[in-house]
Amino acid sequence: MTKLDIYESFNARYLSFEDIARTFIANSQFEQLLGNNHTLLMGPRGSGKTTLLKMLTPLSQYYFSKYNNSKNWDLQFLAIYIPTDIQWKRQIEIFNKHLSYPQNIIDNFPRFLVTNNILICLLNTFEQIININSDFSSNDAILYQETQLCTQLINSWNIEKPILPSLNSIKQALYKRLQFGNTLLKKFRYEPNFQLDSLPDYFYQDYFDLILLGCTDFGNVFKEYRNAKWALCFDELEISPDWLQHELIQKFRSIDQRFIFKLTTSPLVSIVDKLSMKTLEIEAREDEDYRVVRTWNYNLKGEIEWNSFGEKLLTQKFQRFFDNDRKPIDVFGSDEETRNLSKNFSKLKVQERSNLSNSPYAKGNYYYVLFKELAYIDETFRYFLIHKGIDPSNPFPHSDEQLDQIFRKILPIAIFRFAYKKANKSIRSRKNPGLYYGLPMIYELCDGNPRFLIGLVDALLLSTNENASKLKITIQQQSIMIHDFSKKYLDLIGSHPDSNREIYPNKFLNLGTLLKEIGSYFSSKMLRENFIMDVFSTFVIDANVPDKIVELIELGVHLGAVIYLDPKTVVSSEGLRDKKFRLSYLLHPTFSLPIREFKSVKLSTILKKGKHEKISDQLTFSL
Amino acid sequence: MKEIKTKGISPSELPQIDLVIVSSGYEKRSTFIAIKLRGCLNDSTIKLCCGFNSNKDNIQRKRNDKLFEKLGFEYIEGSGDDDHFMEALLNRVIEKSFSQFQSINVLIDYSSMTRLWYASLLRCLYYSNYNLAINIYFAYSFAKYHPPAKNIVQNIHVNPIDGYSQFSIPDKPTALIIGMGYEAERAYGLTEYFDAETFLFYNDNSKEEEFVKDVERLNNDLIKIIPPERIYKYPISDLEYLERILYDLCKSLLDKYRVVIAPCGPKPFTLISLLISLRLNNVDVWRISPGDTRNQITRTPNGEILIYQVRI
Repeated sequence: MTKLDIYESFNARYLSFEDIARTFIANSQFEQLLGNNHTLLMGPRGSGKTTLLKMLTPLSQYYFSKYNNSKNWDLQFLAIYIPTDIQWKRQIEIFNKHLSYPQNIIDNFPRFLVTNNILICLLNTFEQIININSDFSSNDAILYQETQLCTQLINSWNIEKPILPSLNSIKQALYKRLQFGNTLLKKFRYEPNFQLDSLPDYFYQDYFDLILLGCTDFGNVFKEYRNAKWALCFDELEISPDWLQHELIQKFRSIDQRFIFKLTTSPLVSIVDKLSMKTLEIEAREDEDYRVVRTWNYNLKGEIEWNSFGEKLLTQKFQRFFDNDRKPIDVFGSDEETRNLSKNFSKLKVQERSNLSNSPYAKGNYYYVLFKELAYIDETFRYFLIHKGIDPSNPFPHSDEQLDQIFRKILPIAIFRFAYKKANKSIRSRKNPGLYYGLPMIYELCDGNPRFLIGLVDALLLSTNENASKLKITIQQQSIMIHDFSKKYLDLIGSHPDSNREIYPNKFLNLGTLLKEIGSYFSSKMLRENFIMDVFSTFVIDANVPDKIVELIELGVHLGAVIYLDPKTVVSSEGLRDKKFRLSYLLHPTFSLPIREFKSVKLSTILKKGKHEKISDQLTFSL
Repeated sequence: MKEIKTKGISPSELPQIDLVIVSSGYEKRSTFIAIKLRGCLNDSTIKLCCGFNSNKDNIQRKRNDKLFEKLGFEYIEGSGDDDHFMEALLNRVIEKSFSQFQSINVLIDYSSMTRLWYASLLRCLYYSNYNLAINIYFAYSFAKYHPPAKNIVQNIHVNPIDGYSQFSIPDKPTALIIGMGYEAERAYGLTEYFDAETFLFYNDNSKEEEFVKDVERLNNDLIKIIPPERIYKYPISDLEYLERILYDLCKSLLDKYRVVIAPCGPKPFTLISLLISLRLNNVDVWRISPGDTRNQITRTPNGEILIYQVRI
């Protein structure tokens, strides 16, 4: 495996429909997305939303069928993929604040941009369908139909004449409109006496009217599509202009029956904000009017499905890059706790193991030795055991009830506490205790996010120079790399340009700092302070958390750094408040936390040091 | 679209200057060019010194202000984050002092200016219809090596720069060209923000080996994940070469991508990015700035001056 192999793109934005289809692995979310209904596809960045949406397009369907030699899914609609991006969003935000432009430009320019974008996407879809139907070759009949279609579109969309009746010419005419728009902005900006009597009509055209006309024209020419249903697939709704978000959600109930929407967005956030605005009356209801498909792990079923998907994804990756049939499990192994404990405890200590039952909790076996050793070096754990009626020098469960209610619960805490206490007496150890390893844990760490999974596995594979045919990465190597990857991810979050918010006048808080505070709180409670069974690893955003901090958490959810754990509520007037979250498992290694969900604490409790009303000044910086 | 001609020249090739605009910052090098090139300035030269309206108590800043006063500069104060401050100033001066001229030579010392200030000057000179030919000489004073600051500065302003950005349709992915500097993590977050295919530019070590080592060390995480063919090293003293490779790259990318340049490193790179944006029209330059959280480093001049002639 060479370094260059590693650089393959795993961002659907860059990939062609053909490339997406070639490597596509269907998951349960895709099956749900295929439904003939309005759908909100919700998930953090990197969770595969764009891939799923792009896979609905006619061209992706065509290529999937070609590469897999199989029949397509029986789609009940023709999908029009409509992208947006952050560059656009920011440009429009800055434009809206610009003082040089007259009001009619400010009001209509962003709408004109959106309309132009949608029309170009619609033309691309028409082109895809025509190409597929003609098997990518042109003949007189097809050319005649295209000419007919374009003649109708030119009239319906009031495209400037003279123009050749071809899809490409219409597209060029739309780009020219954009060029004219940009020139107009420059004239307003730099020519002090520039006056414009009126804007061209197309600045005022409604995108949906034009879609309707366009699809009708298409059905008139290509009769087999006369009754076709069209799916408008808007990607990354949360970074679309606000008015577009409002309008699309409004349309869930009122749209022409020939159209359905497939919208992707962050988990909860953007939609909730828009729906909770009092001036906006949204009647659409989940299940009645639209379905919600979530792409991140929030329950056991999701985790199982993710593990199975992850397995397929990595197997496919390994097949592409290894000459032999090396499998992911061969390289990373299992994540059984005993793999790590066997490195910690000599055979002498676990000598009675063979004479006893297979349970690692049994006297003399791994967990028994772990609890015993921890009680020896950790006074508070010793007291805990005594308080629970367990002999610290002979800590094994006397009943199934004790096993379930105490021993199983404290095991992950004990493993982490022991590793860090043992490594350096004080917890500030530089030595990595090897706690993060094994294929199942790698899946868990990635929280259902394929981009994380590919990124992490790439980093792990790059970390070793071992011969590919024998490649097996030790638990110590895996743990070091995972820890490093986790820290870099936190750095990345902190350096994200939107990560700084002014929470009090001239007091800024960075998302990375906020996440560090949360993680360090959990870590301190679990590893440094007195041993308790009910430790925390989740938090609830309570009423005492300032709005700007809630905004930062919202960004964290969007970036996948914070996981929304109560996704039953998609639409809520409270936004993120009163909802439960945890840090992404990918951040847990940075704070030496087990990959496990524990109890919840109020976020304001984490952020307030002592009895102060405000959050700690130490977290903020000033301009 | 106006034609732009550029050329690197040596200080000895500078003609007599009609208008000079400098900035009084927190660096020792702020005054270097004004002193060194004073032979090109005469009594009729309009001399303007722009000072930041923040941190005015900085000792070096006070020294610089005094020296500029001694050299006969008129002092004007403005915010380093104000995009229109320079534009308004330039319009005022040209209208007042040069409306009868057919051509003028303008020297802009951008060594201590914020990116917004010299972007604003160039934009104004490019787009405004002054009815006179303008020869612009962008002068930059190299600084002696200074180790990078230990604290991490945040990207507070991430915006398209006015005049160097225009609307496009998101029908193509974004190619992000980052001009890297030696402030830890500033470039790293941009790749995630833009969700773009990334290209990196930084100095080769023909000039300052220590600086290059710092850039590579502090951006190691980013450099590791970018394919080598997307990493470009350029000689900072040869802006014509830099302009050529950056122009060629942008031009080749425009077929498949929407191109954004994010200059985080040395100021000459930003200047070249701005020029390319004006030449190619649909290449955006974004301001990636820590604003007032920027580190105030007392950069000392190393004695070398880089001059780039721009004719519009």
